[in-house]
Amino acid sequence: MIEVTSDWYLTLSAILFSIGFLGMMVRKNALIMFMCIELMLNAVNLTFITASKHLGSVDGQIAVFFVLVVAAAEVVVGLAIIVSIFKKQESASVDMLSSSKG
Amino acid sequence: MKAIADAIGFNLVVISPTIALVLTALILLFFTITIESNEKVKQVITFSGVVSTLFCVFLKFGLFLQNGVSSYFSKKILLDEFSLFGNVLIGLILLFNILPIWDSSSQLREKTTEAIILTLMSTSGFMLMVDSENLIMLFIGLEIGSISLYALAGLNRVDKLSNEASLKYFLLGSLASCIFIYGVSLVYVSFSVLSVYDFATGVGFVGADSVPLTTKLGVILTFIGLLFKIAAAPFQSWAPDVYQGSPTGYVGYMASVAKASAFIVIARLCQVSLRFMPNEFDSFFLFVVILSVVIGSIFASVQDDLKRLLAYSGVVQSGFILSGIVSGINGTSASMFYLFAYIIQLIGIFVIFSIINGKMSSNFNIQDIQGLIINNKFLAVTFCTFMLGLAGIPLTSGFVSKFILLTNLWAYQKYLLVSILLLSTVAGFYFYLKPIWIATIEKTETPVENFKIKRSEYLLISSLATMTIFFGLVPSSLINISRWVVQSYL
Repeated sequence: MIEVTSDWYLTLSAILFSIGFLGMMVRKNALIMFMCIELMLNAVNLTFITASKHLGSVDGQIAVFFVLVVAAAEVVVGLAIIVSIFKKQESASVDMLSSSKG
Repeated sequence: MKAIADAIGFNLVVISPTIALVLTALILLFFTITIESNEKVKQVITFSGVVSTLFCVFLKFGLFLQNGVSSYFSKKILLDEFSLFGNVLIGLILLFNILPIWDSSSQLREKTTEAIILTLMSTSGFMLMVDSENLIMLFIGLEIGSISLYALAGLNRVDKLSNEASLKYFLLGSLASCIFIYGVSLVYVSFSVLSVYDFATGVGFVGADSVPLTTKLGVILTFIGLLFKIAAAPFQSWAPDVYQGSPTGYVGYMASVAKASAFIVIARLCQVSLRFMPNEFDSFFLFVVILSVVIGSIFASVQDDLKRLLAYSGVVQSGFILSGIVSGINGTSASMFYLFAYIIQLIGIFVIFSIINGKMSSNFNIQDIQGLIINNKFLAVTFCTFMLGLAGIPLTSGFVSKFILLTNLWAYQKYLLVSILLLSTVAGFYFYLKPIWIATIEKTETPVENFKIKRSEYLLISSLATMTIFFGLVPSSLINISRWVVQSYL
């Protein structure tokens, strides 16, 4: 029987964060990029929870609440921005957003 | 009840600027959606809100004289020189920018107060950010400020560029926030601290050599998140697109407030948290500084859009300010002087841009200012003042700030850095003097027409230009202030 230690959770959260970061780098759809941000924030939450359990302090668990609230606020503003772009160009791909460059 | 309040350090004065701003925003929201009120009432509410915020900052000085450096709300809010300097700076940024933002928003008709509410909310967030002692508190302040800025960038919904700027700012800004908070969580995992001071205590306790690698990685990630906000290379890619796309009347606020607060937080983290870890992150910061000045100088030289040019010049200036902050306590003092001078010039130049370019438009080609001096003497002269200030010509505050910064770096024996910064200053003369050449000397058949300037805009621009000249001629007052900012950490 293998014992599941805190390290496992920390590794998992690091992997989740990396997946989110890679997704931000390679995907072109604004909605998918948005989901990647949420994934990264939740990886952070997992790290905080694990640390809080491991260290026996409440700070980490309280931090999770604040990160969740911030994520929710970002959803509101982010979706509004994406919708207002979607109205104009029928697609949420960031490839079409290349009017300003240089 | 009072005993508990005293034990956790409950003190409303210390967060009163934030409360005043949020209350003003809420009252404005109430007046906008319920009662049919005219512009005059809203103007009075906004103005009194800004003035009361500045008064609350003044009250905090009283508290500081009474208690000295102290923390409140069970080590969440910190009252020190950095936070007072940050509060004054952000309050001044709001005061100088509220007029252009108001004028720009009145072109949006039904959405006039929307921008003002967003501005007040974001200012409250950044005020909280410079006050924070706890890293989670810092994150919340950063997000309250930034999320409002994302919305502000995309407020002109009929303009495609504005939408684009908003989405780019949102995606990259959120990425930066994620990296920041992941860094904080790594520091918490490996070091079990979330507070700025506790980190220094912890490092002093275990010794700088035995700090775990995870903590160092966490600190680096935290700094990357903050470096994103100040647009230091290699994290600068959002700045030109956002500056170009956003409505011109808002860019001055967006650029200055995020930079000012992020720099103050970086300065405090470097001087308080990392003071027992000497030379640990030097190579990382040196890399960022050199890359910023090099990339910024090269890209600024080839820009045709004035707002993009200012964005890349901002990258160079960020490199300058950062070089002082990371080199030591005297360098930090010089950087605070530099930051103040730079913010004044930045706001001034964007107020002028918003008059010439139109408040809500996005693109601003460099040829649009051809022959500015023929019909607009006042605008041309002040434009030249700010541009020369940014370039660092003598008799302006830009020269004094560059001089103090470089002499301090020289005293730290960073000769390579000083020579690179000097070279970038020389390169800067090219791209700062090019717009001045086009606006004043270059001959043209069709000079730009005469712009109508309101009396309030006259007052604003001329006071900012006077400050630029004044701190160039008599810098001692501001130097004393910047010395005072770092005196607790000497």
